[in-house]
Amino acid sequence: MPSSAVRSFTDPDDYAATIRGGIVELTVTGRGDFSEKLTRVDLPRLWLQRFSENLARIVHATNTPGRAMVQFRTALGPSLSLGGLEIGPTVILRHGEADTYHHRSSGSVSFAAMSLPIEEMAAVAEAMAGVDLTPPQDMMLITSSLDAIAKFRRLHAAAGDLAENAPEIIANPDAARGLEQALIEALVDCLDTRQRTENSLAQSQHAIVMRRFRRVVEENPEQPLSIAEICKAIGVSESTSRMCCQEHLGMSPKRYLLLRRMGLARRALRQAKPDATSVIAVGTRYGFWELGRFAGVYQSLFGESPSATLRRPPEQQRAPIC
Amino acid sequence: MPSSAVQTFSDPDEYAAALRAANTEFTVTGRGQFTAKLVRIDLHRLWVQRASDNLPRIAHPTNIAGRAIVSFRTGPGPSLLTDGLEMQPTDIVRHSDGQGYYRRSSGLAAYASMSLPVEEMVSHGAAIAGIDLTPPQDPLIHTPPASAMVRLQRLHAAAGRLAENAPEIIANPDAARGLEQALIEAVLGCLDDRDDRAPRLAQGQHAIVMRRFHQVVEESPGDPLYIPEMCKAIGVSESTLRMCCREHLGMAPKRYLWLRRMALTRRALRRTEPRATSVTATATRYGFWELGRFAVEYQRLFGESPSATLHRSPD
Repeated sequence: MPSSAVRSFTDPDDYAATIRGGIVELTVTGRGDFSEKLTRVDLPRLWLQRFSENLARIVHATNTPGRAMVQFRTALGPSLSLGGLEIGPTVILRHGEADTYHHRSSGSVSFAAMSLPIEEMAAVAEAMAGVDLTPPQDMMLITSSLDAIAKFRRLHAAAGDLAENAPEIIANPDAARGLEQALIEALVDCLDTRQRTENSLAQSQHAIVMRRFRRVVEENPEQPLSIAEICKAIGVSESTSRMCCQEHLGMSPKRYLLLRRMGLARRALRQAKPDATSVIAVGTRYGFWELGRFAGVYQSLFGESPSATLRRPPEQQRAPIC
Repeated sequence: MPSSAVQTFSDPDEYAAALRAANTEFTVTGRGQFTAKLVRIDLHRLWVQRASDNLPRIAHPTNIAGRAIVSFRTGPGPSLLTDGLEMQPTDIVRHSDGQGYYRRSSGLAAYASMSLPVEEMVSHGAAIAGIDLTPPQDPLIHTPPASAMVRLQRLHAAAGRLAENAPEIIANPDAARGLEQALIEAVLGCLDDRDDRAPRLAQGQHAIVMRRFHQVVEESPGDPLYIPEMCKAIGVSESTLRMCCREHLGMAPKRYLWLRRMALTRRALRRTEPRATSVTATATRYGFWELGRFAVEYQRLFGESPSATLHRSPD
């Protein structure tokens, strides 16, 4: 049964947990109150999502295996990059299968994703355009004709508008099938192009470095890692790791790891009962031993003290569901 | 093949000609530059329209026979009346099969309509809601439950935005079928459990007077008509005709007939080559013998002189 939902979030973790088609970890890197709107449309085979967010952040995502996925921006705005590839207003990013990547924004951005089972995508593309659209080895940027991409965006936006204002139409199986066909055709028109930005050798090597970086991070979820240890584990020099992080994360590894641990500490404070834990216990669990400094950095990042987060009742943080 | 179109107009006659499911005569009664927009969606069996026009006017649509038509306004705004009955954004009008009616606005009017073949509307009504949806004799205004009307407004507006932003989706036969089903269900939700404002007896009688009035007007398109002659042709007293016109047209019959002749003159001036006619010839054709006065009134009504209209290229 086709369906759709429109939700708003103020908690980055709630938001990350709701995103479809992959596993997502979100680290807010900008200051201020997070707010996000997610529109999801599930047609019989096609999944659509539209996102609009207000703060700079770094997402680490792993896409669901078995689905061919694309992403693109839906509005002009500050820089948005995936795996170090800048998503300009006139390109579409084609993912590799089960891609794992950092997705970075530097401010208020709006973007969208669409995915289809791989075999469907391959069959449709073969039938319509005689092109092979099985997911590439590495993600790649596609520069389509402006007409094709404008049409694809228009239809995608129309689907989002239906989800917001007329979900009954999406819930109608005939309408959903027609919408799906129209969107798939528009997408294949965009991807049926000989013009594609070939990824440089350096770029694929950097992607490998960043995948290893991620693995080291995941294996040590809470402890602060020294850059020297990380470089040793990855098997690269410090300058290489710095360059790759600059490209994929827009900041040094040290800064990213600090922000990430801060985000984890904030989540733990939000989710814990004030009588079950203390700021000290949570701070030290995430490697913040100098508690005065922790409180200072925390306050400057999130605009409230760690103890205020801990004492706030969890209900207040839940996003209203539209 | 389902299709859609979005058009804008600056000529009331072209706008009237583009409106579906009725032959419409349009008389602008307010001053200013006319603009109108029409979104038309033809699904498999269902025709959908969303329209807006900016000036006070009196439209006389004659519904084409064989279609069950409903209409409603799409938002609050200056008054909009059907045969003298005020339409609120929470109301829906069921129209008669093949009859004419007057619809007048006192400013920006934004409204929508939907129509199905009569037998289809009747069978949907019977099957889904167990109600008789045979078109009424005269237009009937009905106030549905608020939630049903809100839903119809929402879906209808969404269909309009699809026509404007994603006509490819409407052109897809499956999508069109689904859209059609959703819209028909929404309309039936509004007509189910009807509490039609029972038409007063007077209202039905006034509608009959106004139909005769329209007939007399149509039979003598160019000449100025005199009220006593009209009353005789219709078979009513002057005071009755005046009351009916006040109700349906919002003005005296004399004023309406005069505005109508002015509009016909303007149309003729617009459509002829400057070499083929003159302002004098056109004005006298529509009964304006005092040319100085005609020119002044024309200028006041349309914001340009009759000769400027004549010399403007048709496009």
